[in-house]
Amino acid sequence: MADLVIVLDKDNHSLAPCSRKRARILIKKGRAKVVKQNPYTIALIDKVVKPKGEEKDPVRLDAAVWEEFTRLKKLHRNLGLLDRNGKSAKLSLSNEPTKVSPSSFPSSNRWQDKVILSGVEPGSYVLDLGCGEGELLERMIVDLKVSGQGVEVDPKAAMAAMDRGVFVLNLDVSDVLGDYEDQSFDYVILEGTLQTLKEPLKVLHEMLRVGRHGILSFPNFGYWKVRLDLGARGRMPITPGLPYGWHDTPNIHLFTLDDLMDFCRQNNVQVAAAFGLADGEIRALGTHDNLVTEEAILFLEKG
Amino acid sequence: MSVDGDDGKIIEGPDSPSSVGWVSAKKMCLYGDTANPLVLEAGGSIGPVEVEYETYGELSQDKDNVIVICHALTGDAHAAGWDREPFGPLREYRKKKPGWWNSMIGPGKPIDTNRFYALCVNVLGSCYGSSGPSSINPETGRPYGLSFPIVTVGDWAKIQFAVLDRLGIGKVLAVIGGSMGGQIALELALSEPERVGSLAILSAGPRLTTQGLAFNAVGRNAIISDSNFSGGDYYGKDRPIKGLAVARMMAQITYLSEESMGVKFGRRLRGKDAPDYSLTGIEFEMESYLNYQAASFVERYDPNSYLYMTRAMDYYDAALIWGGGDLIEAMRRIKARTLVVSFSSDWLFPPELLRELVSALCRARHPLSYVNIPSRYGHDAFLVETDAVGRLIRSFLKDPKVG
Repeated sequence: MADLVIVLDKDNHSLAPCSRKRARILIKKGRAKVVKQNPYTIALIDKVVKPKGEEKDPVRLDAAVWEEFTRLKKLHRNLGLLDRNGKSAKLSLSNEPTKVSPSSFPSSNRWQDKVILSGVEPGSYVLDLGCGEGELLERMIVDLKVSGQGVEVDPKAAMAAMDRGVFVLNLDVSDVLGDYEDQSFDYVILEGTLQTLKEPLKVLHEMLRVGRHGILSFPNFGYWKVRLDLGARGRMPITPGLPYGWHDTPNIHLFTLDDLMDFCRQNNVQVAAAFGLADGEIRALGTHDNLVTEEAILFLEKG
Repeated sequence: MSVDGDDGKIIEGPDSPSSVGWVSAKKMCLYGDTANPLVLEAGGSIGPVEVEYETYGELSQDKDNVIVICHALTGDAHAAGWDREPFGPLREYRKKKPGWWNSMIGPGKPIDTNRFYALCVNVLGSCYGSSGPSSINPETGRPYGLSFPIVTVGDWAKIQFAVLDRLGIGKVLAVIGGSMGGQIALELALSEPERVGSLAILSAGPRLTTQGLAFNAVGRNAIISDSNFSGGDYYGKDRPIKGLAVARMMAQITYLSEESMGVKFGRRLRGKDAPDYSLTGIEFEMESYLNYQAASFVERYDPNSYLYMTRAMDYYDAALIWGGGDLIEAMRRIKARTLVVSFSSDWLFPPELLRELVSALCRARHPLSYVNIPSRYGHDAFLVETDAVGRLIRSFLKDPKVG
């Protein structure tokens, strides 16, 4: 994240990042010193004491980003993101399957896009895997002046993206990554696609190889409504994040937030920031949010 | 390449508001200074050379609205509109149809002549106005024939820049070409990267495949084996049109696909319900089509030029020329915004080969657009799939987003 500061303890073990404001306070109080300018890193001088109440969240939010999210929350409610009819979404517990088309709300207003737009460093080089019609890429190019490369396997969507004037490779995500050298990009974005891939781990490793940061969003199969739907109805869950029937779903490798966290731990991948959609609200994710998070977006870095 | 086929589309007349209307070929004499002839890549030099070109639209005051169109193997500078002077032995066909990329170039079309100044140069060695084997050698007063030097795609690029120099044009907005024209476009962007703003390559790769080399070899062999060939010195006598016809028939197959042939002709017999059981006559629609294509082609093409054009295509290898064999190294030179388009059923320049070009550009950290258009029309798709190609080119030429 652009405005987060990396925090180390005195033994150089990494701690949860903090905001610049907090870093300044810590330095002023003589509790921390700057050890690196880029990326901005501080080390705590006194013995490692995590401030009270902060053990839970691996992520602290910069005030500006927080503000944006608070604004988003309202917008999000107004959009009725959870329901195509604008009603508050309730999962059907009857045998009638609920079908919510992801395209029934304007995709440029997808909450993940907003998070990405506030998290990507202006002027960087971005690879957007599965860029669809290129809305996010266009916004990043226009608003953040990034240099961008999109990848989209569907020819129709790729053509639509090209109509926007963004660069798109009409290729399969899994086939493209091998074309790039290590650390070719500042960010590699994979939105809502990982669970559709044949070899998700390979793509995860590859995206963290070709990019300095990986931005990953996905529907959380550990969300309580999904569990309830499966448990109570005994049917494959259909939710706004997972709108397909068992037979026509592109989601062949569903996983939970905790599954992903396990992957990160096992593969030395740092979660630099994590946000989730929980009951219609966007918030920074803590370690115990598997149950309440419907969709998640993670900023990853290879440790 | 299917300049002969109208593909069932309605032919647009010169009076149509979206047509560039009547056009006339322009001529330019280059390398006239005997001290500075055109030094050729394959060795030797030539000068002076005559170059035929056509232009569409108005050149802006700042000369900054130029789009260079590159023609394919048997193409010419007549890319759009109707030829005002369709005279001469090889140009009769122009009475019946507009230029070979008429669907792309014109007022309001993807290459919009209300905005752009499009320019198409006939390549050296061809038989459509630029110096070639059928031109008169000023030293002997007779046609060059095979004494015309071997020309390469690199030489063509050099000449196109010389034409631009003469017109006072520095940087061009875009270079666009399909098939052999795509190779020329690529070479333009590689040889003078600073002068090419955008590059669009359709159905062309950084080199011809081995299979492509083989097809070209068969075509040349057919011409050379024709008893009228006479070492290329057939001008004023019977031309080796049988050989040229066979070359074209075979080439025509490589421009189509099994599916497109199947859909268009199937196994239908030609004007009969039962076969004649003839070994030498025409039985199937497919044969009839090839015969027709070949017959109209030999009316408009010089066999010697066919040898020169196919050879230039054979020799072109962007990796070898600009990267010492390393395509990535070569692609690092490119500064142009790039669009690469392949067609799923093209087996002359197959998607896999274009993918190699795309991959090299990616590795060279060059953002680009690439589409593999699903099409059954084979290599000819770049001329036939006008809707998809038109949309891509229109988008590509739109004021680009930064990035």
